[in-house]
Amino acid sequence: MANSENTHADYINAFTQFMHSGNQNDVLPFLDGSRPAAFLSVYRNGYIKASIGALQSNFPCLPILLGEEFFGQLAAAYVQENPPAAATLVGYGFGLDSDEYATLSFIEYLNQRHADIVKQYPYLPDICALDQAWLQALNANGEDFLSLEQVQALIAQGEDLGALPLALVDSSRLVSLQYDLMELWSTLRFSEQTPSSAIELKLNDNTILFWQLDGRVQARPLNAAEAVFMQSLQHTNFDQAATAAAEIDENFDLSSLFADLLNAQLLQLKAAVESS
Amino acid sequence: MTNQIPPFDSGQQRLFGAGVNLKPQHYDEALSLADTQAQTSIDSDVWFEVHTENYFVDGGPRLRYLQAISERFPLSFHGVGGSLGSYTDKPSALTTRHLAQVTALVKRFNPVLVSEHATWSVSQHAYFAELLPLPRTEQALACLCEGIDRYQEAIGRSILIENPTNYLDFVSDMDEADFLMEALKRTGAGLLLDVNNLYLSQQNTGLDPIAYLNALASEKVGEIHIAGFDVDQNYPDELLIDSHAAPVDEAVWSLLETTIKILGAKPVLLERDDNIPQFSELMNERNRAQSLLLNSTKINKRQAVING
Repeated sequence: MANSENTHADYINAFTQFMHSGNQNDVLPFLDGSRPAAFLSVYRNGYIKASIGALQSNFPCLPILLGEEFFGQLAAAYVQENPPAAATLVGYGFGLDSDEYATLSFIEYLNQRHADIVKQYPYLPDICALDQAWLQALNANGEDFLSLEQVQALIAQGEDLGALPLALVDSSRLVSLQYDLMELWSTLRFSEQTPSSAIELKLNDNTILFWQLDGRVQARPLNAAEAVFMQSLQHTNFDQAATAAAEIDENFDLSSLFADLLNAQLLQLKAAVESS
Repeated sequence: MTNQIPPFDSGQQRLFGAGVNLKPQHYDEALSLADTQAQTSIDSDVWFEVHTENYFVDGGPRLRYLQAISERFPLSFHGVGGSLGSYTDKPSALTTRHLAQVTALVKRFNPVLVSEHATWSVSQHAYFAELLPLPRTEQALACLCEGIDRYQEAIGRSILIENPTNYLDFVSDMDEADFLMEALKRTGAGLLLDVNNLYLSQQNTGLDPIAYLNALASEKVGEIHIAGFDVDQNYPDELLIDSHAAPVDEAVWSLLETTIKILGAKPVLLERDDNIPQFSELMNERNRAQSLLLNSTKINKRQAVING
C-alpha cells in the first residue's frame, strides 16, 4: 500500500466511495505507475452501463415509450440512488425488502422522485408494473400447480376440497392498473413498436393476473369479483375469499371459477409446498 | 486450505476441447447440436459455460433449458458476483444469500467446472456489477483466500479463479502470477487463465505475458478463456477494454497458441457477452480453438513417440 497504515479494508472503502460518487481522490493513494487516474472510470462506467442494461431488460417497454436516451438518464439516476442490492442483475429494479436492507423499486422511485414525469406520463407506473409482473411470472417456479389428477385422487380419498388450504401458484402476479392499457403494453412488449399516434388511454381501475403455464406467461383480465377473490386469497383461505367476492357480485360463482383455476394450473396446495 | 475439499488437479479433469458461453438466444441451436453433431474431431468435445448468477431464478424456461443442456453437454458455471476479494469476517446478508443461491445451483446441476474471479464487486449493501481490481498485497491475498475458502466450503468442491484485466497499476507487494499462484497454493483452487485479459494487461500496463505464463504451474490451470475486446474511444492508443463484444483478435489467437505451447492443451472457452452474433459464427470461432487443441495434442503425441 502507498501508506503502510492503509489496510485492505481502507482500499475497499476508498474504491467503494469512488464507485458511488465518481470522485477519484480517495483511490489515488493506492495507484502506482504513470497510468492516468482517469482510467479508473472504466470500472465505474462498466458498472453503470451493466446496471442500466439490466433495467432496460427488466422494463423493456419504458425505453420504447420514453426513448433510449431519456430512459438512460432516468435509469442512471436510479442506479446512483439504488445500487443493485443482490449480486445478480436478474430482477434488478424490482426492489428488495430484506430484514437487513431495503431498496426502492423502479416503480416506487418514479412515483417518489419523478412525480413531474409521472404527471406527464401517468400510465408509466402501470406499464412498469406489467413489465415487472410478466418477468417475475416467467422466472418463478412453474411446477407447483395442483393437477386435475391430483384433485381427483384427493376426492377419491374423501378429502373435502373446500377445507383444503388452496392458494394461487407461486408464479401468479396480480397487477392493479389505473388505465386500460393491456393492449398498449402488449404491443410495446411483444412487437417493440412505438405507438403510431398519440396515446389516449381511458382511466379505468382493472386487474390483470399473470402466471406461468407450460413455460409461457399467461395473462387474464379479471372482473371485479374475481379480482377481489384473488387478492383476498393471498392472505386468507378459499371460503373467506369467496365471501369477499360475493359481497361485490351476488352472482359470483365459485365452482365455475374453481374449475377455471384448476384447468389453468393456477392452484396449489399450500401445505404440500410447505412440507416439501 | 479447507481440509475437506480436495485441491484442484487438472490431471483429474473431465473436460476437454473447446466450448462456448451460452446465451438464451442460442438455446435451441445448442440443443439441436446434440442431435446433429457429426462425429468428426472438430465437432467433438463441445461444452458450454454459463454465468451462474443469470440462473438465480426459481423456475421457468431458463432453468428448463439449462437442465436440457446439462443432460446433453458438459456444463461449466462461471460466477461473476462472488466478490472473493472483499470478504469480511461478518459477511453481509447479500453475500450470504448469493452463496446460498450458487450452492443450490451447483447441487442441482453438478457442473464439470465452477469458476470465479480474483476480483471484488460487493461492498456493504451494494453490488457494483463489475470485476473490480485488487492490489496485490499480503492483506488482499489473505482476503481473497478467505473468499475462495468460503466459496469452496459452501459448494463442497474446489473452484478455478480467473486472472483480471488490468487497466492501471495499484501499489502492490508482488506480481500477478505470484499473487495468483500463492492464492492457489493456500486454497487448493485452480486457475482459469483468461488469455484475452492477459493480452489486455500486456497492452495496458506492460505486463510480460511470457514471463507470466512461465510462472504458472500447468497442473493448476483448469481452463482458458478467449474473447474480444474494444479500443477505448477516448484513449485509443492507451486503453483496451475487456468488452466480450467482438470476435477474438488475431493477437489473442497468437497468444493462445503460445499459451498452449507453454502450458499444454487445456479446455478453451470462447466468451461473447455483447453484440451477440449468430450461433454458427460463434461455433466457427470455437472450432478454430478446437483445431489448435487438436494440433497441440497431435504434436505432443508425435513428440512422445520420438522421445520413446
